[in-house]
Amino acid sequence: MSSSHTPYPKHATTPYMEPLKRYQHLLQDEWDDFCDALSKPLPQVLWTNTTRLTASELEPWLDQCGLLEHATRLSWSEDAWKLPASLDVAYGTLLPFLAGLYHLQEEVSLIPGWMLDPQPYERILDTCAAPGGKTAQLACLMRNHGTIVANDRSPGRLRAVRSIIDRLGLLNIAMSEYNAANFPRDIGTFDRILVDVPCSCEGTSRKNKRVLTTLENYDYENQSRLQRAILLRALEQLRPGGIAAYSTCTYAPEENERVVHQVLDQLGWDNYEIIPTPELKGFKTMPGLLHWEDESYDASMENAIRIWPHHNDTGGFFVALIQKTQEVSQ
Amino acid sequence: MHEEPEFLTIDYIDSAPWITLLNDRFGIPTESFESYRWYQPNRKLISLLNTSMQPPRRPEPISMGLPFIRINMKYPKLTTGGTLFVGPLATKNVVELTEEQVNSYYSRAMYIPLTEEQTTRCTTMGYIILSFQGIILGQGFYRPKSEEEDANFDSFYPKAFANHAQRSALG
Repeated sequence: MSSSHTPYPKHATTPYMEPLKRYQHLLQDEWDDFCDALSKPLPQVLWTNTTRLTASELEPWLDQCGLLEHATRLSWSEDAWKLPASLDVAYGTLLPFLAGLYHLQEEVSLIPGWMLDPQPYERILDTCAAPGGKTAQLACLMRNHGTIVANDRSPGRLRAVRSIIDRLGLLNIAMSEYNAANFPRDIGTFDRILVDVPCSCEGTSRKNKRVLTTLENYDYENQSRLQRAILLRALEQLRPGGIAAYSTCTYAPEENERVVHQVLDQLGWDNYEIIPTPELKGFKTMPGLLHWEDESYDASMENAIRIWPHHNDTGGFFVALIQKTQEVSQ
Repeated sequence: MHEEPEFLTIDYIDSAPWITLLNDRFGIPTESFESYRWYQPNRKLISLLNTSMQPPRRPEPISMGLPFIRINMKYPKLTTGGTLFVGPLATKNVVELTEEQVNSYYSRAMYIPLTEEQTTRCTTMGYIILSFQGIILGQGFYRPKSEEEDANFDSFYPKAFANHAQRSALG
């Protein structure tokens, strides 16, 4: 297996990093580490299709494909392995992948689904499901029981979800093509909802080098308007006691803390609360921000998590778990 | 207060003929499907659902469950996803492939030769389930040995899934 390390630009010293300098004061003396992390390609993570076999049963297949000697189990999930970015492997063309024994995802993308902790026989909504990796993870965690309504506005992107359903053998997914900001009321209530909204994707720059070049004059306010509408509608459909995971792959507080704060302001802090996230063993996270520019956020925003790439050799991410504490009059 | 959710009323189909078909061809025990429901979304397809599925009436789902059997053909055929799902239960018309045959299968080759030993669980010309070291890969079309040719099969690996990398599926 050969090594192919793509040389990345030295972000810290190029205009490429300009859009992220607005976060420099948040990171303070970690800024150089952050820049260094972004200059490296992203490790690959593969997770076991536990509806089909156990991680232990998958191991010999990884060995046979020459992957196991390079693989490290995730510190916080026994079912997934991390593989170095330097490996020149087309993971999606290997037999265990084609036979639906594993799926590929970035490590941080596994976190909101894991934190949402869906249970078999529950009713789950995934508001923005495509391309479907998180949906599939939820389906496996539910052991193929219950219902996942996997919604996305884009029919083209839903094809990717369908392909994952076929390969992994998932029975509990109903796909819908709808504007998540405007679900009809009679869609019913859900035990848990994944609200993984479209965002500026700043945190994905390690796998998509071009993403930062699109951020000049990025309209965070316009994007956050859509994010607020989707989160608001989702939280209204939670059953009392139900939990939603709001997640993005961006560092921008306008798309993270501000969205959560403003939506809970609108729905009433008595009816919803931001609850602590479960501990990710061996994985460093930072609390959500309480201040950004001239804004302040509710103290419970510290229960949300920010994931910075240099802490765990990942992409960037944000997750807030929101619980509906009581029924709300509409 | 919320309106009571109106779950979609799904018109499940009688699964008996299809279960018989799978039992006849692949020896899949009929009781294997007790915890599933069968649904025909259109004239081309039957999907398999779990029994606890509660999809919404609105927005109406554009698909539900696992696409399982293609029925708009003379001989209804398990989908590749369906084969991966139910293949481990098959007891006949299952062929264990060599590594070389695995790569031919993923390249969508035709007339892939089979040894006599490989065809011991095959019955007649038709669909076979392909495996490698016990892992189900998908389906092929089997031709038994005849005066004109040795036993062989065509890959039914879907074009959309095909291994374009031209590498071995085992690294």
